[in-house]
Amino acid sequence: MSLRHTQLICILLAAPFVAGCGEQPNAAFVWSERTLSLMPEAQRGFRAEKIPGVRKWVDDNFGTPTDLLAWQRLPVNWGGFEGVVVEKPTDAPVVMIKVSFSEDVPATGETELTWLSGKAAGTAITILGFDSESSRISAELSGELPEVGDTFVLDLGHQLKQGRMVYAEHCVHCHGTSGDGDGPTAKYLNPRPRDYRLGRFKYKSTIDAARPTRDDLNRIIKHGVPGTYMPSFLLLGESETRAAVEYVRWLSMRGEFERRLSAELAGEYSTKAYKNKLRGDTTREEILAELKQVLTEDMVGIVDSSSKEIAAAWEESHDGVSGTVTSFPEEAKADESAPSGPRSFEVELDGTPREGAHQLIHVLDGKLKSRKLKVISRDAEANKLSVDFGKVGGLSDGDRFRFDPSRAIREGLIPVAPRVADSAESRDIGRKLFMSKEVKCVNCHGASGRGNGPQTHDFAKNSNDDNKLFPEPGLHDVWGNTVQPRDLTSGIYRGGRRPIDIYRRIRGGITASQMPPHGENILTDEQVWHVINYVLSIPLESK
Amino acid sequence: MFWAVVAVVLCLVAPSMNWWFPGNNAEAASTLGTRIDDLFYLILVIVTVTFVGTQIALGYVLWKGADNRDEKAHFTHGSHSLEVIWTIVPSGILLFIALYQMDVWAEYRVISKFPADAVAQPVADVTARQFEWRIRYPAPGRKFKSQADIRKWLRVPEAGDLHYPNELCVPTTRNVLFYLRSGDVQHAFFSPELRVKQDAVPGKVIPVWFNATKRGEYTLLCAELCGWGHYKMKARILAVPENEYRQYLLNLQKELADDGFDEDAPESDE
Repeated sequence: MSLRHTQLICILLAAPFVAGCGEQPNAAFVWSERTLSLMPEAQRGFRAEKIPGVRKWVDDNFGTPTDLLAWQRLPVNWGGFEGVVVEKPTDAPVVMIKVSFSEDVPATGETELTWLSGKAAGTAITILGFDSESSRISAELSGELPEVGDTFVLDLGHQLKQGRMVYAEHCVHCHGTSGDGDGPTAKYLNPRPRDYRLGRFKYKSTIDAARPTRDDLNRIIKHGVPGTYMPSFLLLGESETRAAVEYVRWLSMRGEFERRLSAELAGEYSTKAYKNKLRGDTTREEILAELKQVLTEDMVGIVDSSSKEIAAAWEESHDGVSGTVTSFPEEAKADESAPSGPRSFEVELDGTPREGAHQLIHVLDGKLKSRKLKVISRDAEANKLSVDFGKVGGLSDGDRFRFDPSRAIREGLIPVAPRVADSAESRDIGRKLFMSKEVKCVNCHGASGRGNGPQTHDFAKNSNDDNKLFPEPGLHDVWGNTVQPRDLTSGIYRGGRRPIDIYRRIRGGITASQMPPHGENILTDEQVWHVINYVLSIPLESK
Repeated sequence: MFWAVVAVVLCLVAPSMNWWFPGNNAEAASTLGTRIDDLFYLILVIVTVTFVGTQIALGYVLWKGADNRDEKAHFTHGSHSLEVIWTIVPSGILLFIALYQMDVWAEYRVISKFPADAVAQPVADVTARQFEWRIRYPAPGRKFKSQADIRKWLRVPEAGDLHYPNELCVPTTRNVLFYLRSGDVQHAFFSPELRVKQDAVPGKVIPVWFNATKRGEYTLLCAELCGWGHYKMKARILAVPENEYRQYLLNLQKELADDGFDEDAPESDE
């Protein structure tokens, strides 16, 4: 073998190492089928005239997985530390800026800083680092120096970025890059992973199609969804879980936004509609002219209204503003056994709670953990809160608490009567209600609770497809998948097995998958508890 | 010489650096675990003595042989007595190890040798499934009357059972037994610090016991490649003193009984 041959073989053997393992994973969001069904011009716009299409509108406001954008109108906790410049910066090749933050900020290396006020307001720069000891930011500035009093955000969006990393590690292989529930492992799963893009979720504490709260998503991540492939991520850290929740909310908003824009154009400017029009008298030029007009004149309004509606829907499902006790009067602490009644103390709130005549705070940690206390009044100016402690003593400095979350989205989902104690009589009443014509549980869950009621054999109409019948019998969810009513003999409860979880399933239904809500007109609270006692007893019967 | 010194130093510092065995100072956190470790150290001593002894002998022969200029080397074929010796001596050692470890093995795996107090009152029913651990505790205060009662509890869930994912709480300094099963494919319950490893086999309900000697949070992993999400099956075992264990179960009971009813709740705040 000549030297040349040897060299050639060596190069060929080394080639795979240099080239790596084939194609690199594509860090792009996947477009929905509806977007892809649009005419290419509707998707991509008209580049020459600088008219953006649907894809550009979405990308410009949400970015790509590796370059996320924080669209400020969306109710997402992006993460970031707000600070202010406190000294005139030194002028040197590397500018040192003395700053102050309202919270403890860890030292960082190279990161992003966004100016909120001052001459450079709205622009972002990359700083060289932040030293927490001297509270100085070092940066190379080319333009004018910032003034004392200029405000900025350091590391804006770090929570979303962290969320993306967590999502990429644990979630993406099932839920997909864009949250379409179509990741690489999704096709092996039944039931299918959740597609977030409709903004619909099944196991939550809110009514009908209302968005889930952060707490709801948090609980699903921590406890998993038994009976499905969603495992419990209990050991994921608090900050990782919070970040993942934020990223899922954001993905859902992105999906909804894309869906709404595409839906606006799908009727007139899908490839199918385009071909139909061409078959008529319309020419290609006429269609394109019309599309251009829609994209230039109507789109801004559609983007505006869609994003506002999406933001409002998610905003509605907030968990209530939380806060910290900063100064609790000493004398109240000293005498904890005596009835303490109303007391007022200083707090620091993370936001502005909604005004209301009656409000509660839920104590999140400390001695009074998980207590609910009645708020008498709130002095927003002095950051003071007056709370009725009844006979439970008082709080301590540093205790966390939270205002009662919005009740509108939970209308009817908060029990007005406590659970009826489980007993043979109660189960029997529950069983009769379960079987009754008015409550209709048996239609789906079957007389023995096996999830094989008559409705599972019927052909249902597909509302997404001109009310044509589905090709297969059974119930279908809003994503178009066949769903099996819960087999109540299995003892597995996807949305959780606490009485309140099952109460919410019965009262609020699982409207995304055909479980109807049962309001006061069908079942009283007491009757709901009887049904729950019966349902929880089904798996207990000796097999 | 340099490498010999490095090897000895590494061996000496390894336990304190946690390179040797998992757990604090390489100490097992369970009673049986300590005995398993002792077996390991016994074997380590036997192997070390044999290895060092044979190396010294080899070195001696080489040293001596190289110095011997008078005698000419000659070829021999087989020595019956030598072969008998080097067969019987290792067999004897192996037989000794086999017999010596038998009681540990029996206590670890043979149900009739399990501690009676643990067998009488199992603490949990652990189900491994793709890709999590689901724990079911009997209702706090539930006393099992007989083995038949336990078998029934394993077959039919009870109203007071407490369910929780990925966290198994057990009392310390007491023999605890739980039943292990699989909800789908084969998994393995592995807690390195407690030295507990047991396969979860579909269709079988396998009793496992241990006695955690120290309070702590121990790792629980799946040690059987069970599918694409195998790496997600990380959970924890909380070993706490008896009174805290009782409190843990009572807290869990309270959490799981949440009916969302709020006595003080206002009718509406809108």
